Order: sequence, then C-alpha cells, then structure tokens
Amino acid sequence: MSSFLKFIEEDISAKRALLSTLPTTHKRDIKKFNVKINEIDEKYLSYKEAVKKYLIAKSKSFKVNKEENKELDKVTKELDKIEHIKFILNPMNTYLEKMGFDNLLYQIRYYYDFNLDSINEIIEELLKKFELVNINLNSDDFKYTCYVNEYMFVFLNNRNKDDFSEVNDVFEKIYWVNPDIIQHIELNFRKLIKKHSKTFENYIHKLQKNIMKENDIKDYADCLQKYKSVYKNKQSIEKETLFDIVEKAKENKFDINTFFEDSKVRISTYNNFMIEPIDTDNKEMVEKFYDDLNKLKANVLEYYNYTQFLPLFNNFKEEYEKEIPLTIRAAERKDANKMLKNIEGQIAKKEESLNKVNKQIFSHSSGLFKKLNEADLRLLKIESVKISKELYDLYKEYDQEYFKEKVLLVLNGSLTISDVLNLYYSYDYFKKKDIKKVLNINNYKEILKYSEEFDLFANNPLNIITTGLPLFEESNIKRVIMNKYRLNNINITEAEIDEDNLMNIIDRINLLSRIKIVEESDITVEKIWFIVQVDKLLKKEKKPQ
Amino acid sequence: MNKEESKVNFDLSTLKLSELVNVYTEINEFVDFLNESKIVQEEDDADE
Repeated sequence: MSSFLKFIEEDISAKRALLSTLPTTHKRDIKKFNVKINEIDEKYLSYKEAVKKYLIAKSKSFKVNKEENKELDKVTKELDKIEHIKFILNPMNTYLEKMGFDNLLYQIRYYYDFNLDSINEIIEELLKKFELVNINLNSDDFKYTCYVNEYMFVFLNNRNKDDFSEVNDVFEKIYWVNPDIIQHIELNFRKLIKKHSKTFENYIHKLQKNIMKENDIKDYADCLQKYKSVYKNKQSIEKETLFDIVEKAKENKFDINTFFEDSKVRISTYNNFMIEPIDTDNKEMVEKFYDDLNKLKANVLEYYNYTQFLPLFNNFKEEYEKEIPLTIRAAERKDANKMLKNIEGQIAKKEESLNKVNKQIFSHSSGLFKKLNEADLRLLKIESVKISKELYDLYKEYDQEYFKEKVLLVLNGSLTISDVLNLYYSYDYFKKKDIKKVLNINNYKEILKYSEEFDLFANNPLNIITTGLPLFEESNIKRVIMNKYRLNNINITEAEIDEDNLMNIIDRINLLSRIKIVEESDITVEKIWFIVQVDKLLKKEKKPQ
Repeated sequence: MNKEESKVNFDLSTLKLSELVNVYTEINEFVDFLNESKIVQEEDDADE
C-alpha cells in the first residue's frame, strides 16, 4: 500500500478512536471536544484541498478532447437540404401537404388540445402561407359566417400589435354566443385554400422546377438516391467518439467498471454473442464480428421502431384490409374517387346556401327594400350556425374519403410496412389523427413527439426489414433476424429479440463497440475510469446537501 | 516540521489512480463524520 493512503487510513482510525474516548458529559468537556474536532477538521480540510487540486490536475492531464467535426456540420446541412427537396418533390401528396396546410388544419381541427394563444398563432401561420404566394387576405375574405367576420376583422387589425387583448376580448364575446367559432374559422380557411388552389399548385410547381435545377436533380428517384447516399455518409461520420463515451460515462449512462478486462459483464457479453469462439488474434475475423454486431444493431433498432408503431399499422390493416378487393378493378378504384367528388358537390351546394343566408345577415335585408328586424336577423344567424355545423361534418367525411382515396391508389394485398410508412409520412394530418386515436393521446406536444419519431423512422433510407415486410400477412421478424445472424456466428435467440428486450441487445452491442473504441485509442480504461470518478466526486460536492 | 506535518507532504504521484480516488473519498467521509460529530451548544452555554 502506498504511504499516503496508509497514513490517512491509520490516522483516521486513530483520530476516530481518540474522539470516542474524549468525555462529553460536562459543558466544559463538550467545549474541549469541539475544539479538538475543529482542529482535526482544519487539518483534514487542508488535506482535502491538496488532494482535490491534484485529482483535478491529474484528470485534466488525460486529454480526451472533443474533436471539432466540421465535416459532420456540413453533411448535416446537406442532408437537411436534400430532405426538404425530397419533401417538396414527393409525388404522393399535393400542394396541401407541401405547403404545410394539412398540419395547420390538423391543429385547428383539434383546437381543444390547444389554448387560445396557440389558435391565434395557427391563424397567423395560415395567413402567412397565403402571403407566401402573394395573397393578402382581408376581412372581406372571412365571411363564412358573421362570427368569423367579426373575429377576423379584429384579428387582422391587431395582427402586428404586441397587445392582443382586444382580439381575446372579442373571442370571449363571440364564444358565448357561438361556441363553434373556431370551427367556422377552420371552414373559412378551408374554403379559401380551395379557392386559391391553382395559385398554390403553381407555386409548388415552380418551386419544384427551381430546386431541381439549382441542385442538379433529375427527378424524384434521383433525389431519393442522393438522399440515401448523404444519409449513409452522415451515419459514417457521426459515429460515437472517445469524447462521447467519456461524457456518457460521466452522465451515468452506463457503468464504466464494465469496461475493465476482468469485468464479468464484459467477458460474458463478449462470449455470449458468439456461437463459436473466434480467434482474437485474427484481425479480419474480429473486424467481421464487430461489423456483424453493427448490422444487428441497425436491424434491432429498425424492429424496435416497428414495434413502437405497431398499433398504428394494425389499425391501418383493420381499416383497409376489407378494401383490397375494391382495388383489383380499376373501375372500382374510380368509384372511391366518385365518393370524394360527391362530397365535394354536397359541400359546394351547402356553402352556396350558407352564402345566401350570409348575404342577408351582412346586408341586414332579405332583398330589395326589405329591411330585417332583430328577430329575423337572429333566426338567420341560427340558420347559418346550423348549416356550418352540417358543413363541418361534411368536411370530416371529406377528409376521411380524401385519405382513403390516396390509400386506394396504392393498396393491394402485398402492401408493405414501408408503403404504410410512406403514406403516413406523406399525409401529416392523417398520421397525427391516427396517432391521436390509436395511441390515445390528447396532448399535442406528445402527439408531435410521436409524429417526429415516426418521420425519422419513415425517412430512414437504410430500413431493410420494413421494406419487405407485408402488412396483410403474418411474418416472424424475430426468426428472420435470428436466422440471419446465427449464420454469421452471432449468438442471438428469438427470446432475446422480444419487444421488451430489444434495448438490452442494443446496450450489449454498445458496450462491446465502446470498449473497442477505447482500446483502439491512446488512453487506458483505467484513465477513463479515473476521469469519470473525479467528475462524479466533484459533482457530488457541488450538489446541495 | 513535526512528524505529522511531514506526512502531509507525501508525494501523491506515487499513488495509483484508484488509490487517489480512495484517499480523497476517505478524507471526505472523515470530514463529514467530523461535522456530524460536533456537539451543538446553546449560546449562553458557550459563554460559560
């Protein structure tokens, strides 16, 4: 044992013994006792400071610096850009989704998951979308009902002011007369979007042409290829570094003690992953082993994502499986389109009759020279609310048919999970609507979190399992994964690929990969362990007792 | 310099990394023990 540690251990033991023998019966004894304690305390605080200083200096001497990854920043920007291009070129959806209207319409439809400030922000965002194509809406555009007109008149007048109290006051006033006001605002925007659809389509068309020219992209297939290549490139650059490992160990994301060569966890993790032990001196064999582990990790992560959204896929299956026979004949595919056209016709008719009622309300007359009294006006307003309600229900039906039509275009008995991912990714409104329904979530932030996770999953061009996984047929993914890797000497069982166990496999693979990174670096496991311990000790001291 | 003071000036660089952590932990625990062992006295008692 080294001398200072020995001295400290012996000295502490002696001092504890000494203190235990000091009398503390009388006040004077207590005073003497405390003086002794203070004396020892002072000495030990000076030891503490000296050792602490040394620990910090020693820890800092083991340099594990964060390397500036300029290439990663560059590739990330490149990927963001091409992802946006992919979004704009997506042949599956329309200007409605590309302009982001579907997202805003979703938010306004489920307005009860938001507060009034958020509703005003959604309205502001909708107005901005129109301005993007040089359409500046004014209060005359908001005459779906007299209530929308009253609200939007005040909204547009206060739009650029910091104080929104006047808008909130008028909302409150209208709300108690007509609680459907937000629905009326939604309907008004839907009508305006429809009215200006050609302008939006032209805007998107121009945008598509420009970005393809500027970025030297021939078509959507070319864009997908480029996206995949940049995605792969980014993945190879953003691999975990030694610095990341040290930081994660400091944050207790894993136990650094398991990195030591004699750690039972390390030894068993390593051995358990091999069917037949490999010759560790054979570099090629070792590299192949780690390469297979990384591939297994990617497959397991993809399967994990699949299991996260399984209720969504099951719901889709339940809803559309019965429609498969419909899609066999082209003529019947067209019937689905007829249904949509039929609802569109009903909407147009009803909006026309609402328009007639509104004309009387806005002019306070029911024709030439016939002035309306208050009672007549009240009845007309009630009528306008009734028609709007019917329209609101019709739009709900329309939405359902709209998505159904898109589904029927691609639906067949061999539809894959990848196709469903693509459908939902292309129709944000329906993705969020189904996430809300199937996963039973009412909090918008949480819906958004799931929706973003879904998009990350759907947008991964390296997905392999889901590309060939049929939606309408049973398949044992666990067995497929297991068999693939057992052929490569990776010991994995079906039970290990159980849904609840997936993160455990990832943790085990991560442990081996991290150890490999450490062992290939200039620093020892012991030094990393030391850096982590010093960090923990210092953090513990900073924490309020 | 008395015997004890000379011991304070031990060369820490002779310790292994794990021993350095141990020594600091032991000192810390002892300092905590000392603080907990102090007997609090009323102010008038202290003046006595």
